[in-house]
Amino acid sequence: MFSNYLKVLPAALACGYASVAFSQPLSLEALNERLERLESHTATYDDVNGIQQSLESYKWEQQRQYELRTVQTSRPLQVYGAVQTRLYWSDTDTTSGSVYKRDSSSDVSFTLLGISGNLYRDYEEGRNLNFRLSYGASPQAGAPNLSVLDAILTYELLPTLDREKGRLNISLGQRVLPFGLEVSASEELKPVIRGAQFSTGLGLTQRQTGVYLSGDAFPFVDHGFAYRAPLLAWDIGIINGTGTNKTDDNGKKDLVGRLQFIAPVDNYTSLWRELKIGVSGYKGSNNLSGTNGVYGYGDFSRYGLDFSYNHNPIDLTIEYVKGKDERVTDSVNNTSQEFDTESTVVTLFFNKGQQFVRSFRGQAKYDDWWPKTYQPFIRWDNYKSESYNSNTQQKEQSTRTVSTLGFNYFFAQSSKVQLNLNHVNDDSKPANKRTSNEVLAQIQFGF
Amino acid sequence: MTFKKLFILALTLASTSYAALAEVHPKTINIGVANAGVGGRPNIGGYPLATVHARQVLENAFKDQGTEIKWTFLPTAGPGVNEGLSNNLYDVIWQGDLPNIIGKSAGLDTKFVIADGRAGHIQIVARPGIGINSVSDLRGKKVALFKGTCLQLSANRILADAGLTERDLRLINMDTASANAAIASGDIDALFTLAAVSLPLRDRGLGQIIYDGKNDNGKHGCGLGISVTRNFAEKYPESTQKLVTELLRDRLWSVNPANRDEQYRLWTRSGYSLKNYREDLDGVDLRHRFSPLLDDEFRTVYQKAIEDSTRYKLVRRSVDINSWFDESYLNKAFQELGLDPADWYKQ
Repeated sequence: MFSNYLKVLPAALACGYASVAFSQPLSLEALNERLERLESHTATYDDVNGIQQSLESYKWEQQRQYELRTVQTSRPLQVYGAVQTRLYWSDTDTTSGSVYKRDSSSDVSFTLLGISGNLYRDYEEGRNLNFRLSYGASPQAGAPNLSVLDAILTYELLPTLDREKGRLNISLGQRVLPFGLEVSASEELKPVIRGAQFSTGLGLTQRQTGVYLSGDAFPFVDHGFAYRAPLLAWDIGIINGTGTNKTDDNGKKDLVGRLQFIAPVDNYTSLWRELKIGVSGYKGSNNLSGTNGVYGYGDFSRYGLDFSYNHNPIDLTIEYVKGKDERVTDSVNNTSQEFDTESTVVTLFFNKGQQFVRSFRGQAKYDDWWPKTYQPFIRWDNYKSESYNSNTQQKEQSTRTVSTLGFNYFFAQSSKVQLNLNHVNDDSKPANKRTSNEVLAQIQFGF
Repeated sequence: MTFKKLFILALTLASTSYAALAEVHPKTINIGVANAGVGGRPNIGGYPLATVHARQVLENAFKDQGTEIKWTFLPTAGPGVNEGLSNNLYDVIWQGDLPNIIGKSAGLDTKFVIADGRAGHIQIVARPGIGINSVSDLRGKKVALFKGTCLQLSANRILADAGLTERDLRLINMDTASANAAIASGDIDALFTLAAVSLPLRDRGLGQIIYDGKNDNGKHGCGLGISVTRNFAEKYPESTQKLVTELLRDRLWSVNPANRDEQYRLWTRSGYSLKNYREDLDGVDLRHRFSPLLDDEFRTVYQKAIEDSTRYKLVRRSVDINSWFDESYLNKAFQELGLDPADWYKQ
């Protein structure tokens, strides 16, 4: 390119000289001055060679970095993870099993490392085949050792490129149960350090393996705000029901489903935006075991009704869950009874900051920028459950209520400091230990 | 009490009252910009506001009163500005006609105070060698369009001229960066975009420009402008006036032919090339393109945009320009600078 310029340059100069010479004679001095000025702005062979060499060096360095220092995968991947480190203190000590008079602890309460991506990307219609694989450890879920959390393949049955159309996908593998808010909702709707009592009490936090069908219908899309809200969203799953990474232990399959109604709005600024009502159901069978081994099936069911209003800066969630479980009460004579569980959880929180405004979070920046958000909240978590007293051979009902006053400080895009003050009232405990107070502090960081 | 003492007392009272009434200056002015540079860099080019930002005009003007200027450049463009505005994150916004109209139609309470561009050059870039040579050839093709931005309204108008609608195309909603990558990889057939994006694609042999708004004097181009939230304007009237005055002062620099080349160079901080700015804007009358006036021409552009947005079902409710456009700040700015708006095109 530049060599061509250089070839043309003398001709151009000659023409220029000729035209100038005819119109206005210039002195040799003036011409020399012009030539010098021209040369000072013209790239020479050496300049071009210098750039070429720099470019070659850069290409070589990039290639070397790519081969030696770059993690390579056969498919596009996204790596993500989260860690929760927690401090806990209670004014009432605990003694049970191997625990003696514990009133405080520091824990790594949850770790997660995962990858997600697509195995096939459909550029025509967006019927992609996606995967997600994650490992984690969570003492809360009764699995302190590293275990498979999500391991699932999802295929979009309907095109996804058009946001104005409904969605339908089928998944095969292990994932979070599509049940209610507390179990399946995103971080935005869960400000509390500990999950609601029913989620662990009714075994809903365990990932389950099976086939899931998920979709939504009649979406409202406000392109002017990049907002999409379907009128209906739903999930159905046929699952083992045995928990995380376990083969089914009986011949019956469990059925879980959720239907959510999202208030229709005519634009993003509507007061009704993100007002949702959901119903969930989970029905299945567990094996009943006596002293002589497994002898039959025991049915269980969980039904839930939830309401959420996630309208920045105010968020309100209400969830009611009812459960029924058949459990062995006499393992010698193989008898069982039904036990009821009922729970109501109400959470109200307020956001001051930009953490949940997507466009603001994704703004153009040179530096590593953290949107800060302050989130005070209150929660009331009431859990009524029945248990069997083998001494009286009667069912007994107990109620445990946890009232939480909390504060979350989001100091990075996916990281937060949390502080919870819990007042616990548990009528299953002896009278002098019925109420207790806890302080929990947690740092959650993610990437 | 002598007259002199009375006069001093009255003067003291008057000055005290004035001080009490005077504005307490804002700590910050948050400006939401519906654009970002190449690779998500917080610099833009091609508009007077880009020059204001690059020359730190507002930072210098508001330094004395202790007000910090916070810029937010949004790769999510107009829809991102609207989302942030509805979450009370911005005092001042810059965006094109369609997202402006959508926001106003949805109830975002803003005052439109100064125009920032009109008759811009929309372009359509198609992959070479696949038989797309005109707008009508787009029928049935996979075309990227950043929906919710002013490009969508322009696209609808350009298509209508060729007897087409959005439904005749296989439209894919994509932001600028994604569409740029998608045409390079051959995943889309064409895209609606602006010169800063289309010219590099052409230069790299990745696309051919099948429609150039420059050829019809930007008749379908976006009408860009700056709005202030009513809340900010009412709480900080002096700062609002100062903002508009400084924008106008810099606009005079921006449209001065002597500064054209320097302005192009400032804009290259966005990552788009000097050569492309020259090609797109050389020969264009910047006094017209970057006129600040909310005059009949600009009002007509917006009125038509509102009508077209309603016709193409891009908004559900119409917008009243008369209660939205507030010329008082601009008129006072002209007065403060000793200028007459009527002379804008005469200079």
